[in-house]
Amino acid sequence: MKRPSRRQVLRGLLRGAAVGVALPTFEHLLNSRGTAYADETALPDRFGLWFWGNGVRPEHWVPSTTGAGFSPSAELAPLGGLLDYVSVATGFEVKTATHPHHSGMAAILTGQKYYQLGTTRDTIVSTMARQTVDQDAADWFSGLSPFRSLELGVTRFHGTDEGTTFQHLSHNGPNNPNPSEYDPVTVYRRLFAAPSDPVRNLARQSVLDAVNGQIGRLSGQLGAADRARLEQHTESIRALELRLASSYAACEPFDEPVAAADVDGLEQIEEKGALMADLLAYALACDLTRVFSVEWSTAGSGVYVWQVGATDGLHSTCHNESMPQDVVHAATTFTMEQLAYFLGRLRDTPEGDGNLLDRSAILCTSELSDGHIHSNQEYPFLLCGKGSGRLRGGVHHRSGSLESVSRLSLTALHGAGVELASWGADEGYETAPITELLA
Amino acid sequence: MAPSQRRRPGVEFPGEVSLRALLPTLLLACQFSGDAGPGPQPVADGAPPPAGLHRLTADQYRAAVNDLLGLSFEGDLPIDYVVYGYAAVGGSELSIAPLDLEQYETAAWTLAEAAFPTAEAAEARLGCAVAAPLGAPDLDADAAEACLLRYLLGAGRTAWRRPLQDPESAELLGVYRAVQNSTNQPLLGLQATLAALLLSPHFLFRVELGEPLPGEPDRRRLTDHERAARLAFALTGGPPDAVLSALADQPGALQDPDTLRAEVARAWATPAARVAWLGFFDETFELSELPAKTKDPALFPQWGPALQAAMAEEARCLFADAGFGDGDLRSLFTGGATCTPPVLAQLYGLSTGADRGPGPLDPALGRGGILGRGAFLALHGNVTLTSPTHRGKFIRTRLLCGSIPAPPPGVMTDLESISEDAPLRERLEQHMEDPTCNGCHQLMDPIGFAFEGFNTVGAVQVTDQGVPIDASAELDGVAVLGAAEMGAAVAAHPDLGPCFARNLYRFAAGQHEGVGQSAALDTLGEGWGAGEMVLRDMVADVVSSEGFLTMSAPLGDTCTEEEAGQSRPCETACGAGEERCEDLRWRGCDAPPPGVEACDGLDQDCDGLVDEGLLRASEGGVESCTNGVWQPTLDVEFFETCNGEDDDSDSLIDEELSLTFVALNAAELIAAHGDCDPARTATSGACRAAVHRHCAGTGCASTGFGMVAEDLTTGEAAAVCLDPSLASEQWIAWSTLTAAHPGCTLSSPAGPDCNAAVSRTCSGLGLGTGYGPVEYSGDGALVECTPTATVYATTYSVLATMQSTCDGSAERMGPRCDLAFHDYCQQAGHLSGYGPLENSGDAAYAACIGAVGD
Repeated sequence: MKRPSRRQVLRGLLRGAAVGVALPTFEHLLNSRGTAYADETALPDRFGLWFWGNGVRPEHWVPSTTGAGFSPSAELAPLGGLLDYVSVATGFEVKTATHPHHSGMAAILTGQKYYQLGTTRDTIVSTMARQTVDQDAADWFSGLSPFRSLELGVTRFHGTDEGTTFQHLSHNGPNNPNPSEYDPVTVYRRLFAAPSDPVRNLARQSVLDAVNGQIGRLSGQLGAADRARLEQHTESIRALELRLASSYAACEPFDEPVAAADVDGLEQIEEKGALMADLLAYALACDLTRVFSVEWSTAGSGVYVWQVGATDGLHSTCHNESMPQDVVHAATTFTMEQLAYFLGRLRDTPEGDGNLLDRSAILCTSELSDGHIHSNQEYPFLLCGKGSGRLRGGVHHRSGSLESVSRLSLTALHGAGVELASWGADEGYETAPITELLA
Repeated sequence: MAPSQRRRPGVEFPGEVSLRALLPTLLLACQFSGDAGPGPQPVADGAPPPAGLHRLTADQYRAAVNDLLGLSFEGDLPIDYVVYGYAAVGGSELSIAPLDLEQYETAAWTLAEAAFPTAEAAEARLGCAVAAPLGAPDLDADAAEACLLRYLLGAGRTAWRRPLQDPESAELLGVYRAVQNSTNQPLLGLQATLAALLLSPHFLFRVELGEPLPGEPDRRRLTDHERAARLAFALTGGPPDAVLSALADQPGALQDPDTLRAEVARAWATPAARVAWLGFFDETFELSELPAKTKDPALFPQWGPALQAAMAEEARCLFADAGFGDGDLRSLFTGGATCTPPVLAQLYGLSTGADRGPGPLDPALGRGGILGRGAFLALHGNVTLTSPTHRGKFIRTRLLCGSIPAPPPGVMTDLESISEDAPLRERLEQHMEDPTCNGCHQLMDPIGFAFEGFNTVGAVQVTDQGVPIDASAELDGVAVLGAAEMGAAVAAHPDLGPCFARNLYRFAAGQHEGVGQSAALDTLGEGWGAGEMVLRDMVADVVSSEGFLTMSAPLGDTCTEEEAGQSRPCETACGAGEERCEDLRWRGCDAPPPGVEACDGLDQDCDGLVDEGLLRASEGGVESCTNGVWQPTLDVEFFETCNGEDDDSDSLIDEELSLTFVALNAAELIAAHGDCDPARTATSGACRAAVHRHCAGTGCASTGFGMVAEDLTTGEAAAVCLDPSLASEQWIAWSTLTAAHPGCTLSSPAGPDCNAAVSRTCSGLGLGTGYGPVEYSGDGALVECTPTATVYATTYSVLATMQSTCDGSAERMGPRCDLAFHDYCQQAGHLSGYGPLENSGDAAYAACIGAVGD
């Protein structure tokens, strides 16, 4: 379908100040109600992941009331001003739990067990057995935007040598991650780089064609595992070729951002998160992608949350702090404050007759619930955004029967309009989304 | 500890797991003795890991690019993935995601443009021309392609670490043709072929397909070229050098064990090997994590980049001392080298000066080797407290290759029953009493306690919560006190050798050894442990081993349980055979696999053609193979350029450069004559002088005129430089010039009147025609007569078809007309020209110099 090009001028300050978005051309393209393009193409849907490591303090996470208009718990209080965009589901568990951290990652992101590498070591080195939920959405939205998906990271701790599940969020398959980008300048240049020369692009296409031919011939001589690796290589080339061939209009960029450096040896976590939130909001407003993931911290992250008086990395604190674990609780609340900024940034970016958050379905979760005991029950899950009217928002749904977390991910996909009939496999196979969360 | 004490106060969660129910599982998970984890499974055939692809790490990519192009690449590259401890292993597992591909593509084009920024630079690098210089007539297409093909065969051989196979060179030439056809920019086409070389999987990966191993259908051995590449990257972190490449080109040379060992020894002695193997050490000891470690700034204000750098420096120095000489590597753990930079010595409590004499650290400090130094101690410590568990875990898993499963989900992992005012050791000792914890923790904590005398930044601590430090510790039955003694115990541990064997293998081969090789490596390592552990010899043993030089055949399609043990026919281009279903894979096809065609009169790839499609670069051009013999196929023209070198190998330097095209930009014009305004090159006397002086300054010309062509994208324009065989310099008095045309005077030295005056004066001297003045003073002017030029009568109507504003009214003489006269002369079969000599009405006279083919 031919999309009108959207040239927008986005003014405003980064990091906190409300962004004034002037959209004269854009409005011109909308129908009289502002709900669709003049050629009646609907405005875009988005699917997102927002992930933090080490879980929550369940006793402070689960709200005390259920249903619509629930009162937020202590750890959800920072989302108070956004409650009509935030739904909570509690009482769900991982059905494939065998490992403290890896099981939850694999369950909430792929609906099945992780894939273990090799047999000469214990279960610690793992990867995803198939592509993650964000790539399920990317398949659905394939070809609608220049970038198939965007992966961003915030806090610095990058995961230990326990396989790609500990280092990355989005995966295309086993040992096939989409690395998160942590440097805002790199993100900026990738998304908002100067338009390239059409003559040079012709040459770039010729090169990519030739390389594809080389890959095809090489593939025939390789074993199955390497053939799969090269298939991904070919897919990646195809994505770039499509982008070169398309005439998508680059957004007029604002000034190149400056990465937030440490101050007095301390990581400026809020600044870094805000920078990424701003960049993503611009990217979505410019329709550069429909699918994104934000790895705020990795599974088992050793992020040092000095802002709440931590004396150690969060993973160590989860294990060493005595109950009631005030620091862990404070760190979780702090994390939810960062999520609140992120969601607020999307809500404050107008689009058509609404805003970016209206048209998004964002799955917010961690790799376990109680980090102290590595619990895979009482799984933390938020579904944020209105999904272009598909999501009710502001609802607390509690499972009375220890249902599978796969239902949570399936519901999130439906919220973005990704109408898959089922999700997950084996013990994690589910077909029914949570209707209480859907409009 | 009874389960009831573990019940948490507060909210009851549905489905809370009863610890009692979990107990059997927990004990099972942690149930092994100190020296046997889930260790190597007995495997009959000792199969090496399968053949396949190994992606170059970022450092290897940079080394390869530097080797190929002499350029150092500083841009972004895909991040390396550490798997099983080493980025090289990650390279054998991971795919190329969309982001990775973008980064490689950007890098390839950045490098291609840096290697071939202009036609001149391209010619200098290639030795022949693919694109004509700015202003010069277009090259003959066949000559350009011959030059390109020769380059591709040579550069491709280097970049892909093996000779190109048919149809690879044809495909790459096809990239050039495709770009030429659609853009008519041969320089862009040249850049595109280089980008294609660099984006190819044959460059980005070490492609290891192997060749048949006689008598072993399930195995393959590395080919000559694959051996050279694997060895070079393992030993030096970069591609094979000229000597090793030449050996690889001799069939079978590197299959000889003595030749191989000699090459290993030679590589080990290079500076690149030092850098590469310090990298091994960095990865093994995780030194790159130092800057990411956070320490409490209030307690440890000295923690920061300077201290971290000093720690890394000390650690690398210890490794170099223990690893790069003839001594035993185990001295790494027992200490003895002098390596401590001043800022670190201060942390250790030494005053810099007398205490830091030429000898090793004072043994009274109790630090010993690497395990008692800042890097190890700080890397395995928390923000405020040490971590005996982590320090012990590192030693157990990384140095002794032990295995420690994670705690199963649902287990409490805190130390809550002992108050936080107790020393850390006391709190941790609870791990050892609790049966749910001690199965795993007894493998780690007793080791880590040895380092309690040093805090989380590696400085001395004598008390913890007021209690004197107890640094008594134990490593698998050996009791020690303090860091130095623990280092000695680690050095003497029987698992140290086998574990080094595995780590060396993973780093050097760039893959996990797999179940098949574990036993072989253990045996190798035990042999070292019993004798001398000299790193040079250990590495040589590993890279000469079967597990390094052979591979299992790639795993084929899967088969089912029902098919197990069955056979089915299989075939290759060279024949038919059978394969069997074993371990859920079809394997062992005994049909003869096609080989790689070599110039030997045989049909290795079984396609019915002998020695087909084999090309290689030679001194004079390109050779092809016919029935086992290499013969010249294409000759390449080598063009002499003004660079002080004998480019065309005829023993003459810069000869016969009577007319050359030289590109210059505005800055260069102004540098030649400060009053030149580059917008007024044609009509400004200063600019004429600038071009003249610039040409004379090249050393291969005496004068020049311009500008005859322009490149709007680079802002460069081309001038024509002439040597005395084409331009005869004459000093003419103003009186003579003015007599030739009254409008040509000292006060008006550049313009149509002087053009006519100079032309007439040169003619009067019997020297045909000429241009100028190119320099002048009060007495007279320097002009250049061009006796070999041909004079043409043309019109502004004709010139306007070449440059629309040179139409006789908008312009009769000027920058556009300079371009027009040049184009006119080229169309007439000359190399270039200038004008107007005389002009009147629509008539204009041109002087054209040189002939195409000169």
